[in-house]
Amino acid sequence: MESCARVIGMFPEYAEGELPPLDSGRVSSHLERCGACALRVKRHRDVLAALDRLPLVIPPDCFRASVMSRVIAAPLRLPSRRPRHLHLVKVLFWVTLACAGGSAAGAGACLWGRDFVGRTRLLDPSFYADWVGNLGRFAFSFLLDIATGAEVPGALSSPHNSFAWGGLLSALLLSGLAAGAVGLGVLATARVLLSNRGR
Amino acid sequence: MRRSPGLPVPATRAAGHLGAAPALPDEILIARVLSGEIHLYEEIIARYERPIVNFIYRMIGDYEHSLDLAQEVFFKAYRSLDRFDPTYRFSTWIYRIASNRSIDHLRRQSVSFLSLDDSRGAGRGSEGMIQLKSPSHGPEELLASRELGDRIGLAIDSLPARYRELILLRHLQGMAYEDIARVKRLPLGTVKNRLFRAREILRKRLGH
Repeated sequence: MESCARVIGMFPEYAEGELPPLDSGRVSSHLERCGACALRVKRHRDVLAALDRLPLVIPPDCFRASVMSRVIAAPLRLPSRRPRHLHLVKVLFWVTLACAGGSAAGAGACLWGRDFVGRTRLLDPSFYADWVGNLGRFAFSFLLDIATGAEVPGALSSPHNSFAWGGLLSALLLSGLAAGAVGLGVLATARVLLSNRGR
Repeated sequence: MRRSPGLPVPATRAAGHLGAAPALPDEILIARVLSGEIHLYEEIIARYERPIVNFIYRMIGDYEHSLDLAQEVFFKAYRSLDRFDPTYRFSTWIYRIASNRSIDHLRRQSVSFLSLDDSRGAGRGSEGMIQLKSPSHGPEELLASRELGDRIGLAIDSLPARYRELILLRHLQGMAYEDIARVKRLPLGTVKNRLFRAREILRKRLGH
């Protein structure tokens, strides 16, 4: 016969009929020979039988209707078909485009005003090619001056370079906005992906 | 009669209430509610209203408050339905909400201990209560059965909340040990140990 200590831990599940057949057989054969353990199991069963006689309450008939009236009054926020972060990226794209358009229009207006009071070269394509070339040269020398620690203000104070300076500022502004839009898009995408994995 | 462990007892009066809906599993019903068929949530309520109300009632001891809390539980579950993970059982999820709400309620009540005692005593009347599990024979046996039921109810009330909760989930709701462990986020061994201790306390108090 198995010792009491080896089977006593299985009594609660045995009394509930939830032991695997092999263990249940071990306990049964032990109980046939051990009166003390048989009494222990009987006590378990008595408690289980008493718990089965616990009175229950029933909710009133209006309970379900009451919950449903609250449910219908507060419709569920259904998940949007379009992910929210894509909406944010779309907004930022249009903001960037609007800024670029505004900057270009401002620069064009300045050029037009300057040429209106001076020479009229707006229809000459070489004017725009020169302007873009000057802008690129100025941006390169500006960055080179910064990198080498050379003095910059001389170039900035020159009225000849005022358009290039304005163009550079516009370019920097647009780059910043574009970088911000891309960064926010990446962050929002990562957040959505992580939250989906968490679920 | 022993209930099969693992699933709460569905309310039988819900059968046929919403056409083919009672035959559908919880997860399908929830998916349909999320797709806009809000009226199907009534079937979910029908399946769980009795177990949830009984669980909360036994936890807090006040019938009126248990109805209010059960309403809150169903409403909160509905509002959070889009966050429900269908890889888990809905029953586990809603019992976790009910358990948390009951514990919160008990914590608030424990601030005013005297009023808790009053409300528990007052809420244990026979109003709204039925003996579902005891076969009724004659009036004397019915009376004896009712007295035994009251004694068991009082013995369960006197258990510490962490034991009482597990006893109710196991013996009132018929949940499997594994499901209780998931609801309470406890190790399986802890659940078994606490249930064993709780039953020992009950046995002593019932004089078996």
